[in-house]
Amino acid sequence: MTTKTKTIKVDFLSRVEGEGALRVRIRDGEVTEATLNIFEPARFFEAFLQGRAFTEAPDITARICGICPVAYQMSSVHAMERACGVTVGGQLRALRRLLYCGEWIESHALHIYMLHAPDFLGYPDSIQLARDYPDIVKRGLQLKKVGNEIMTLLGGREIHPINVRVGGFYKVPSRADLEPLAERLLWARDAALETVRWVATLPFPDYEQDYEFVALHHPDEYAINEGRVVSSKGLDIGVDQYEDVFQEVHVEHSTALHSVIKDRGAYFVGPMARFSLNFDQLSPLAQEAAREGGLGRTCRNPFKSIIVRAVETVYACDEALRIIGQYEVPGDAFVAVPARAAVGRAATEAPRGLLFHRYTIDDVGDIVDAKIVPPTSQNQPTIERDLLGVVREYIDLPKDALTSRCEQAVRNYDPCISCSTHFLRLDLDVE
Amino acid sequence: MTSRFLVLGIGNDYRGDDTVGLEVARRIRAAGMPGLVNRQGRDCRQVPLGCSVLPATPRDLVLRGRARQEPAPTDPTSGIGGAAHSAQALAGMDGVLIEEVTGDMVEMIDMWQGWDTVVLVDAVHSGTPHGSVLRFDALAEPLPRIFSSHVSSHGVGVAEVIELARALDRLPKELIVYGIEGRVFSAGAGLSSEVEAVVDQTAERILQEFRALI
Repeated sequence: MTTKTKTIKVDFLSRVEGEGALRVRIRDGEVTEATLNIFEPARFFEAFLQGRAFTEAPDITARICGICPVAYQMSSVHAMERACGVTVGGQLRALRRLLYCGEWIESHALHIYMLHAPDFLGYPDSIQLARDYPDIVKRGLQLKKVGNEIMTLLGGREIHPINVRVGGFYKVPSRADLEPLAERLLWARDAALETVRWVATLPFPDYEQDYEFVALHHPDEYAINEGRVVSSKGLDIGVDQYEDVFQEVHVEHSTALHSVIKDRGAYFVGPMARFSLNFDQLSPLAQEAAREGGLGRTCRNPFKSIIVRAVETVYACDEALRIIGQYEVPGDAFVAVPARAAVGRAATEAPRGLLFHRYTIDDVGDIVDAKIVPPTSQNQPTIERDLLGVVREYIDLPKDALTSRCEQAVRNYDPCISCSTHFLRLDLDVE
Repeated sequence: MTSRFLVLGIGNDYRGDDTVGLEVARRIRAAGMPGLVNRQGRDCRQVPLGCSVLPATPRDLVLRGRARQEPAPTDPTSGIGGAAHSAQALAGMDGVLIEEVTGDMVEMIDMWQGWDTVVLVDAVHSGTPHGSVLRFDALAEPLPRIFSSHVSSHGVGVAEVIELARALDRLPKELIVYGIEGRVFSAGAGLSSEVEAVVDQTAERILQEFRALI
């Protein structure tokens, strides 16, 4: 009997071992292996945080991801405030939400236009897309820029914001500071609506799965900064119970930890989970955009996550405008947070999904230990399941087309793969 | 004739030689050139470290986090260590902005709008000897690359951003890219000795490019 073996192997960073790779192995027409190995910078930072002051956590954790620094800052400041028994409310809470909206706009626009859309249109990258559709790509860049502008104004700078502190901000904006943003956001909201209409026309594979969606849920708002952790299969816990239910496990093929629900397995975090669990909390305009984009109240086709991201971008613009409209300068830029020996846990909704932090601090506020569970490690088992499913579905495609389909399936999750290294890749003939 | 110069140092402070782009930018900034401006174009010669050219690293983060080699002492009349020399040589510049790029590369397309000469500095991994300093004129031809970083979801790298800007007709008038061959890219590592050895000379080479253009 002859054995037909087809191996698809894509190295994310070809020369750096252990950084991340996806591997699919097909034997005699059957998928025998579908694994993804993603390097996680969070592990290094957990060790790095030990012994540092609790007030340093937002600055340090912001450096874990160049694309979503605000998410890391927000989970860390909320965790520290919970440890110290302080609640930040009113306009400071609203400003944090506004800052987070900026990051959602920036990150979603980047992913939709630069990374995901080219997959659907058969382009190898956004450069080719830009050559054929410059106006569409320019719209994406402009939209992303509005998100960056919010982050610059509130965060102090758009990459690695420095204005966030435990208890609030170092400096808060005036109403006049926010006015130009509001004008830009009106444009951005229209551009986001156009984005929904555009991505809804993309060709989608017919692929649906019965995922367990996990996201924060808040009774009064589309949860971003706080809420209970709920799932589409009945889970409903406070964030303090997170580690009772979710577990990080070592798997043989990966340097990263995989996150599972104890006794149940893989689950799904990110825009599609939020959308499906919290549709009712979306603004009327965002709900209307979802309907216009062909979505129901839930979405189980991961390829359609691009539409969901566009809908969330509409929401983030809408919500940012609402916050700016109701803004009044708070009396103090921050609330005092006196240190005490305690454990603090918090989760917020990073653009790519739930981001859990837990810190133990001592009575002077030094960090004793830190645990950070990024969205990508939570989604990793689900991504592998999708890879298996997608390969089974499309096993007869030529190798190139199947490889592209696998990459697209990974990109559905907007995984945080290589933002931790930025070097050029060069092909040089040296004689 | 005056020119406006922008230096974008690219990298990650926690990934070994991936820090080198940031280090080169910091050494140029430390030279305290005249004409240094902040992002809004405001003169910040007097307080070069207080403007938007703030280091991406908070205060003592890197120093406390790991051992960091101090720059080797250099001849005060030549090289980057010679701040006075550089200051004199660069008098007449309209503005020099030195920025650090540590995350989203796409943002560079907006950052370089309105600047005459833009120099990017980044670590590379090309198979050349460690510490090699490579220079490319990005206006003349696309940067070499083995393959698109299409696969890595956030992997819109320097080469891709430049080509995207070229496709959208948003490149600056001059765009020079320096690539420094790194050896170590693991989390928590510092600069390798091979790379540390070329930081000052790369900064000086960039200053020479500016002098030649004044």
